[in-house]
Amino acid sequence: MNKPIKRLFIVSVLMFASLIAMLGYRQVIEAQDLADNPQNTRKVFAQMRIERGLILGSDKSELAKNRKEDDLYYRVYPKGDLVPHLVGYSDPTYGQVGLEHSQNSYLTGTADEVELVNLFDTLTGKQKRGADLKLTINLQVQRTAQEELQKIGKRGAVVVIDVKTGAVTAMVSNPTYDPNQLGANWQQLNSDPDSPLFNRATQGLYTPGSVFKMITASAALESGAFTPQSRFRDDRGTVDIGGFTVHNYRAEPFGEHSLAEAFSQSINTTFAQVGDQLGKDKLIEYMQKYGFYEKPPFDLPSDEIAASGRYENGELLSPGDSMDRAQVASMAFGQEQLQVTPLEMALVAESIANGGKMMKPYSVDSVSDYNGTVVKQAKPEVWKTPIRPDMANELKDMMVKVVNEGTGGKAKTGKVQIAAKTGTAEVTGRGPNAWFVGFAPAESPRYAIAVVVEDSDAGGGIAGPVMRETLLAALGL
Amino acid sequence: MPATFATATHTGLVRKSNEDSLFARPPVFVVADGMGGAQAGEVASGTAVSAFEGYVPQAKSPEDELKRVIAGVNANIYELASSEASRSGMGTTLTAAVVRGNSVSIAHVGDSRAYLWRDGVLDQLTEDHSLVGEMVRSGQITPEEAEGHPQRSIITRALGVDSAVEIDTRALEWKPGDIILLCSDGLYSMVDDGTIAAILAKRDNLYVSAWALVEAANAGGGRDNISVVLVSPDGGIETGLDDDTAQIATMAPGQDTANAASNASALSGTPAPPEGFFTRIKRWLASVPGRITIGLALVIVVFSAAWFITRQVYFIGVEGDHVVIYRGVPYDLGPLSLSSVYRNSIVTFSDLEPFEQDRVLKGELQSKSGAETMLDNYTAQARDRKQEAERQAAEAEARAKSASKNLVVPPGGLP
Repeated sequence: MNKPIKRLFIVSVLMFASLIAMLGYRQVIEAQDLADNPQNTRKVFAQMRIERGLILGSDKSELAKNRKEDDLYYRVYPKGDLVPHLVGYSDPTYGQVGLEHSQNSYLTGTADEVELVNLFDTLTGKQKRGADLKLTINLQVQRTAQEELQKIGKRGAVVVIDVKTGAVTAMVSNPTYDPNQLGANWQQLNSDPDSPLFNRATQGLYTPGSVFKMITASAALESGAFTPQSRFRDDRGTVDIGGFTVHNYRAEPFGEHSLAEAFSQSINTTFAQVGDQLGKDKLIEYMQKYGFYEKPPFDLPSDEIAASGRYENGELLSPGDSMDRAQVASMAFGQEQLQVTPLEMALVAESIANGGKMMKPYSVDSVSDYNGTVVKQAKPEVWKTPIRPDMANELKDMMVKVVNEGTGGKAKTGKVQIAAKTGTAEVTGRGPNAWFVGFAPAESPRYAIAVVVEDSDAGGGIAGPVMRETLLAALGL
Repeated sequence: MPATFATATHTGLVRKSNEDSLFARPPVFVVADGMGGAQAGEVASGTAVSAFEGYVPQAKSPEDELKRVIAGVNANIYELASSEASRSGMGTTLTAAVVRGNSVSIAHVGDSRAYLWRDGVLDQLTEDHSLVGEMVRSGQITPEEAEGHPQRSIITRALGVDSAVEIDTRALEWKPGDIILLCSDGLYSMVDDGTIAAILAKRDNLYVSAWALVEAANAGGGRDNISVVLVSPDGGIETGLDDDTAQIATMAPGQDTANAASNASALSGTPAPPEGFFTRIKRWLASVPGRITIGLALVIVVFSAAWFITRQVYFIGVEGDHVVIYRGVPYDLGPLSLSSVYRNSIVTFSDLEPFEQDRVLKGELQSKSGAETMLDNYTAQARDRKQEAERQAAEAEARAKSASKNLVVPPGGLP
């Protein structure tokens, strides 16, 4: 080869090499960043060209499907305002939330498990297609819970969990909204003081009040220092701890009673003393055993799930932060700076019902491709083991007493034995939060439930019928 | 007897146009191979040969006359090339032969050649004015190496590239039976001297031989234009032309085989050249039966391909009340259905969920395995549901039985 040809050859080789290097860089290393760049509206349109997978209820009825218009697919939610907080929406203008957001890779068929586009599909010009999600949500139970909450006409939430598996059977947040009407109602939905778009079941932080006594009781029983039969005496209806006076509800004195009775009658003075005796570290330890201070591993986007724990000015405090005696005593019966989500309280009830094993909650039962082949199946997994099985049984008995002899009478039904814990959490500035947390059937639990009703001037019992009717619907009774 | 001759020129198989030109009017014979882009080569070679139309040799040994004519040509082309930008750099080779009495005068610039065939031996009369030619002459490379040399198309001398040019001339005595061959490099770069000699040795009439040389060059690759002039100085070989026709041939540049042949016939009454294999195929393809055959073949190919494709695709559909796999496409061609049931199933349409019914009704084309998977899934689902229904029915029956056991039957039995 003579010199000019050799030089030309070297130059072309270098140019090709740099071309390949740049292409590789853009396509491999930068690809994700470029695709995720919000200025890249092509991604939105590219995704709208994909036939998104359906979202189905546990009975395979459609919760989300597609409407095709000018080669673009738009989402339609046939059940309207029934499950919007969990399912979410996918909209070119308003973005994606809920499962539509967190499960987007399955719904658009880009997840590794569903990349099934083969040579044949390419040849027949088939577009990439999303996989279908089958949820664990039982629409019958969902509808009952929603209707019962709406009957009360207050803000609130219901979470129902399958005790053995952790499958979420219902997840209701009230008020709700219709994801088909986002365009027409966007302004109003965002300015509404009741925040209908907000998923109270997983993000709503509520003072637990007496339902927290499930955790204090767990710590007390497992410490060995207390049994359900441990005796207490309360003559005044108040007790002073660390310079702070604890009152019973209406400062009612209960006289001599057992720990089980203190639980079923929700005696604050006794639980304040138990908490004081156990100390801060023990209580915090059991909160962490029950999953406090972390976000439950659930299918929703992480920013739509809140962790339960002690909060100050909207910020989760560290479990190690110091507390004085009065704070510990106050926390022991569910006040102080505690904030919990309905999902977390449902998980607490679920683990007591499940012999001390807290299952990982999930709402996506399976993912199937267009031909109906299951590409991913949820497997029940234990997330936490907060208490021993025998302790769980003792707690269960105490919770049965709450319904049969104590504060939970509003949940009583002749059809099935329900176990529960009530709570009437004081909230500064407005009416208390009414809680009902429990499970049924008590002898062989199948469903755990947490119900919260905000601003309930009618007292804690208001949530009882919501729990009862929802559990009956779940059990098919 | 006056000299007889034949000419042939062909674009070859690779080039788009023929930049060669040739001229033949006894006793003057010329081959020119033009170069330069955008038709400039054709202009150059055409200009070169047309200069010989007004030339009648006077001297017994006309080498000096040839030099004058060629120098004039050089000046003409040089002027043309410098006057117009698009023609700058154009030029042409030129090899001319004049037969006078018992001698032949050759004048020559560039890499077109003149050969003498005598008693079966081919003798090259000219030296190529090319880089490779000079390297061979100086012994840098062997003639064998020259054949495949990448720079063999670089010529060192041509008409029109400079205001003055050096022209080689020579003269030789001819003998009865000799053949003079003038040709462009399109012939000798594709056909070795032995083959050329063998073709000439057949002593067919000159036209047959000329076209046989062209065919041989095309068979060898036809990478360049091919021009051939064959001259029998003693008139001992027939031309293959009618005797009466005027024996003049000027090949205008840019003509392909057919044109060249008919042009030759028009000018000099030449018969059509002997047909090569390619020519025959080409002519048959252009004929009516040829076209019909091609049309039918195409229709058959298209239909078979379409049929073959429809047999490769499957779709899920409903036959009666059952969900089945069809093979083919979900269309009818008049009375002809393009699909047939490929596999039956126990799944009824009503077994399916509404969204599954939508998918079945859509009848989307699938691969065989895709359609089978879909139907398998629906079948499993229907079977599970049936078993579940049976289990529930059995449970209900058991409950009813145990209830009837508890029924208190009054003495004497029920009425």
